[in-house]
Amino acid sequence: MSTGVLEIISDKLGELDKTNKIRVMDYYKGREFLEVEKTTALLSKETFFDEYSSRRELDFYKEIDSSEKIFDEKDNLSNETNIIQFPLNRPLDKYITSKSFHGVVDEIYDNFFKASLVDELNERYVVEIEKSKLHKEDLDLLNVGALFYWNIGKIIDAISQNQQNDSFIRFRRIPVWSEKKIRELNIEVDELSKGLLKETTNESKAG
Amino acid sequence: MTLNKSKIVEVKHGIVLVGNFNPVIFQPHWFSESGIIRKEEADSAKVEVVHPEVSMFKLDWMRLNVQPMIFSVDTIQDAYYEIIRDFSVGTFRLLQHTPLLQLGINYNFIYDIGDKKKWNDFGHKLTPKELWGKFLNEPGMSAIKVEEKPIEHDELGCKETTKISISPESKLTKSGYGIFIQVNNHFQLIEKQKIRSATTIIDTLEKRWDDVMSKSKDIVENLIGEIS
Repeated sequence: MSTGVLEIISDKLGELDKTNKIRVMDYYKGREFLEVEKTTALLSKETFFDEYSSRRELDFYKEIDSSEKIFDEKDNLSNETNIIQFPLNRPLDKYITSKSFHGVVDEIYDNFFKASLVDELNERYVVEIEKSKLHKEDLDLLNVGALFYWNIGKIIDAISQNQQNDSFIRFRRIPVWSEKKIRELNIEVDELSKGLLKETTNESKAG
Repeated sequence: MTLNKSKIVEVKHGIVLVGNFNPVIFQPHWFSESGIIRKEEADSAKVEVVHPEVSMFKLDWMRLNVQPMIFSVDTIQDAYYEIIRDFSVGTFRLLQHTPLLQLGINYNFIYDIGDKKKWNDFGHKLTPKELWGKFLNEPGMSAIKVEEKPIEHDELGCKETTKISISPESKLTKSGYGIFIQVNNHFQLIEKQKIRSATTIIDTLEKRWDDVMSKSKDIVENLIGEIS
């Protein structure tokens, strides 16, 4: 049985699937596959997602209508039965934390910085962290007294359920604007709003 | 039953703000330009809708939905639950003149009990059937909601209520014998408070967050502990 994923554009299914049945992976139940009548998936979308989803109806609906290509392993597909990964819009992966710290930057050196950490049990640590471990966009936030999160855990792939160890440092981002910046952004927002309103009006006229 | 991590199907942390918003503002690049998220994140954001009435996008770790009266952000990745707080605080420290009226700090939890008898017993414990059995044939619990009397925080200018909802959850759990627990911590400006800005609600979000999260997790763990 192939586990490939089709490029899904609903009206092309007929060309890709020679049978009248479609196999659908119900990712909420792991690798469980459902076999549904093609017509059910194509013609009765409401019935379909009423039956196979609960709180995510809206996502399902949009995804069925989507022509987005997730990835294509068409060559691996069986001629008789295609496997459709469903929903087509990739859901968010899960992150399960095994250890987390709050940190504050104490001292900064050329290639590393010293920080004080506290974990969920209020245990305290002093560590040295290489700057290379930071995301490049967080380097600007590296200042004495800056606060950051350090998480160690695993990422669980929403589709395959594969787990991968992970560790990340992320600096807190609570910016403060200057009055000048506020004025600039207000002008930008006004222009954006006008543009969108114009587009909406044109669409209404066209409709 | 003690909480077994492998039976946790989903934990979702969410923040909902009620007020007056201009959805058009809330686009990924506005957040990165403002320093609230990274540029790389904004570049890879999946924008679903941008319209004067609604703005919706997803990052790898969160989902945002803004409508004229609602700002809602949530994450199912527990490593990021504090980051959605920073995201909300950062946003309305900048948009400090946005009138905010209410705040919800939500903790949603889906747990696979994995055993029909335990699942039924838990339902009976929450809603004993002696009364309902007099009127209904084999009554079963479909949902229960319980809330506390509001607590006034004069120092914050808000009143706080915790509301708990529990319902069976069969579709998202492998065994089909799961439960969905929602702990909604609701904050509302006290009446004498004048609505001039985002400050009162955002201060409340910052000051009450740790206690509320800890309380929500305790509630869920205690409820799970009642499953026998």
